Amino acid sequence: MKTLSPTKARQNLTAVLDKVKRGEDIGILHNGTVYGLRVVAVYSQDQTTLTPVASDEAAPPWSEIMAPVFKAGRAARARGAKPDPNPILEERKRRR
Amino acid sequence: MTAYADTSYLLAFFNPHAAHSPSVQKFVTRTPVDYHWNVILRAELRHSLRRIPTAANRATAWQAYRAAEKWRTRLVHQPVSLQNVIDLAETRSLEDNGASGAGTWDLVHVGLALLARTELFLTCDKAQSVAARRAGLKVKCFTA
Repeated sequence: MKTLSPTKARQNLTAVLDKVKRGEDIGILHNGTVYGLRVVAVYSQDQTTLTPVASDEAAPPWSEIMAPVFKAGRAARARGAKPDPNPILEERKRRR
Repeated sequence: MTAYADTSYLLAFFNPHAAHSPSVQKFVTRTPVDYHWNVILRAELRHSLRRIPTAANRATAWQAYRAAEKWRTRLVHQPVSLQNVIDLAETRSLEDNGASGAGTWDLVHVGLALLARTELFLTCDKAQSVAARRAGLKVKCFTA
């Protein structure tokens, strides 16, 4: 393992991290202890694992996000198609 | 405005030709609303979207749902402790004592809405709306 002092590591941090990413074994020696640098996969057990990555862009209005749904709804109504029943309401009715 | 929408509403929101869609779509067009979002809603909605009977409507609903999930300001993520929610639902269920006609699992939504301190509770289920009103929430119930 290659070791660096904290000062040296700080001065070349980006290059050091790139080397670690490439698989080099690098540690930082501080007060007689070596702290190893390694790439880790991040696992989170909280809700963030279930939420998507948010975009930095401003969110469009629902009318824009839902435009294909509204359009398909209008087309189905124009065709005179029978509406889909709401399975949630049917399930609740059965349960109660 | 941030509102809590239960699964019956969300299904009518995403399914283009659900029985309640016209009234829901009219509301969304007129009212700038964002929704409280949590793991329970997400799981229940994803399960329900698979059960939309018409294939074309199902595909459109999934597409819109995936598009909506990208926007954190439109679906406002609410951290949920399952234990808190179940405790709250049980308390609500005891207080409700069957008066609204809503079951304990329905009261999970009322509990989640109370935890989120929502301004408005949206549903297409009359019993759920009664339960939410009894819990002190401002409610909008949509009819087919």
